[in-house]
Amino acid sequence: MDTICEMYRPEDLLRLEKKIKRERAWVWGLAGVTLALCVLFCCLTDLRSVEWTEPAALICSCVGGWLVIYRRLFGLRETRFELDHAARQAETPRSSLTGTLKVTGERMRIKNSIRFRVLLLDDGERVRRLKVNETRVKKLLPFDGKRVTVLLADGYVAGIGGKDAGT
Amino acid sequence: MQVLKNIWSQLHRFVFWAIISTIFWAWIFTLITDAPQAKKVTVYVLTDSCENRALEEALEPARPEGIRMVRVHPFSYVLFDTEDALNADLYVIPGSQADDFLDSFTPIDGETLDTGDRELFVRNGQTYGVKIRDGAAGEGAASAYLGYSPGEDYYLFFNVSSPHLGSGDGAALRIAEALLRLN
Repeated sequence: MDTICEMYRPEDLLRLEKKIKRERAWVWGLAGVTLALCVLFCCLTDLRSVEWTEPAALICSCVGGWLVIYRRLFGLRETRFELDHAARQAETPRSSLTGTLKVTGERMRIKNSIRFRVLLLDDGERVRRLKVNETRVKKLLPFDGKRVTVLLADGYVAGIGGKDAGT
Repeated sequence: MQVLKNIWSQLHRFVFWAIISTIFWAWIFTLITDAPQAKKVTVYVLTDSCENRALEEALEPARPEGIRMVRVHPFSYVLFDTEDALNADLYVIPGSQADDFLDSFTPIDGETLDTGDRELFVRNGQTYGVKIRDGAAGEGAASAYLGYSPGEDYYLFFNVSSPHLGSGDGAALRIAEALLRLN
């Protein structure tokens, strides 16, 4: 069966790995700059300057820490979840289902994994609920309401394939 | 909008970090700007107002060898650190309230303290303090830094447990003399 729309191509995995490195550099860089600034404020401290160096170090520590937390949680961690998900999809054997695809607005999340969107696939006998990575939904939008063969891996949509896909 | 949603979903982590940061940096800056009792002279003042940082700087030149800093605290600071107040070396207190604290003060009869012609606070035949401000005349030492109550006399006393009296390094006596000389 030919696959006409893959959720992840090999270059996507490389791109995600690069993004993880970039995010990690951001997090460590931010943490380093924050710590360096706080140490600088400590070095500038004496009995007179403590009135501004202490609040300055506190503000710097809070803001820097918040940025690090944000980048780590919503940059680095999300990208790592996506890379793990993509790697699992690449390793897992695929199965296929054919039916009419409907992309819903229902978003869900499994703890310590990716956010996903719920899809409905009507094969004429029953309607199945499928999942696809939230960041990949736009690849499926052209097939919304059309009859397709869906390739599943690890419980998620890994691609659209088949001779009658998109008809 | 998505950023705000993300922050809201993890708000507890951001709040936790702010609390941890506040505690940690308060501790670090206390370490930097404070010293053990043996290395500092602490003055507690019970006046209407107190420019404590400026007064600390004014007393800094009189700081004897071996003393790292002179700290001046208004009595409201006791709310944050009672132990510090109990371990202070010098107290500036209104004469009307001095008898309430007399047990905490040490007589200074045998001390080498230059009081000039200042009036002394004498109880039971012993000298406990030195008048630092004359309420009737409206004149007092360190008036630029201490907001005295109008018409009230103020005295300078020495903590009975201070390690900086004559039997120790005498640093509290030198700081007291410097305080009495300030305008």
